[in-house]
Amino acid sequence: MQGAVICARALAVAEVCRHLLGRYRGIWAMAWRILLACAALVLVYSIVAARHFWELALLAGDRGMELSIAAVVVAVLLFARYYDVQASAADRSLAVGFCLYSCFCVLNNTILEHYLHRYGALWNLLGMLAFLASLLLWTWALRKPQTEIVPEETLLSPVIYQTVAPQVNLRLRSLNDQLSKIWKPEVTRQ
Amino acid sequence: MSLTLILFFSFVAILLLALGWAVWEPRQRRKLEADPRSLEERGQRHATYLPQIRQALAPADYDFLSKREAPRELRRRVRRERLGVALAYLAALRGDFQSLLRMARVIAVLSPKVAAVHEFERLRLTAKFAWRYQMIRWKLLTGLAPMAQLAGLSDLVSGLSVRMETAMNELGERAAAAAELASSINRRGLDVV
Repeated sequence: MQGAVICARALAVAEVCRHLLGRYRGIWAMAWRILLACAALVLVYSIVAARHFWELALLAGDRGMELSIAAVVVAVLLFARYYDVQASAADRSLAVGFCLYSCFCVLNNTILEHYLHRYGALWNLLGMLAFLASLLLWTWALRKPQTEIVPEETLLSPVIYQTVAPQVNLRLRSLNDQLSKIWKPEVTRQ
Repeated sequence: MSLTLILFFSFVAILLLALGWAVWEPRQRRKLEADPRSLEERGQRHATYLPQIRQALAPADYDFLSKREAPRELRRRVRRERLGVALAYLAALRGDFQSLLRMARVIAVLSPKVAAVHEFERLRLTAKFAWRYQMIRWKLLTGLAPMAQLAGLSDLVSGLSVRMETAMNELGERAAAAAELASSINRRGLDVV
């Protein structure tokens, strides 16, 4: 049951990501692959970092999924910031809610793993509170009906990017080389 | 505290910090501008003052003052004022660099196909530039950097501005031509596939 709920949440996060970046076809095509790779890496990290006991396997899996969800949300918001993509307040609040809830689950599960018997009741209570807080945030984000349909952006010809991007990078590289010459003048003198 | 606790707590702390930074929007941060002309204008501003900057950075005046055995105070004042000019120039270069980067990002956002290699390369170069910029600034402030070498930088940034301007002009011409072609086909009632 818990697995189904986490999978549903992961799908909801994927939908938020698509909603944030999907309008920009090129960026989205690159972003979803990076986000997926990021999620997989974080999952591997959490498996490697976890204590390896069979009785804690479910807990570790649950935590790994939660950590991946949180990492994906942060990564997509970083993408949006880097590319100056305007995210609606509702999308942002939903994403933040998902991230905070997942982060809290990770912390809660990590503590539970260490103090399984003493922490059980408190773990339940805190989990419930975190869920209610996130629910409150999502309700606030969606308090108004979301009827707006965002059309896909008018995109440029692919040739323009293919021509301009390498040129820009080449120039930036040269500029960096010049900076390094200023930083190390002895190299210039040679 | 066990290693597992430390690993997970620190990871979550990093995530929360990154989340805060991603969501936080400084007041002066401008919104994405659809019109790229404003970006071009910024790039051109720096190129306009290039001869004056070059003159200010030339070592000839220092040599002249030394030969004429000018008072120490005067030489110091000249050096101080030129340091100010060099720093302002460096800041202008950074402004140009950033506006060009922004333009590149706008092009990337509006392109139907984006290569991850180029994007990561630009990210890497940006980080490198930011680091070196700060280092050179400190070097200038402590009087360790030769000011004359700064002149070479402006050529690169100006060159990039000109290239970007050309690319933007080409972009506009192509878009206009495509629109013209599409409308003429539509007028003839042909089906575009």
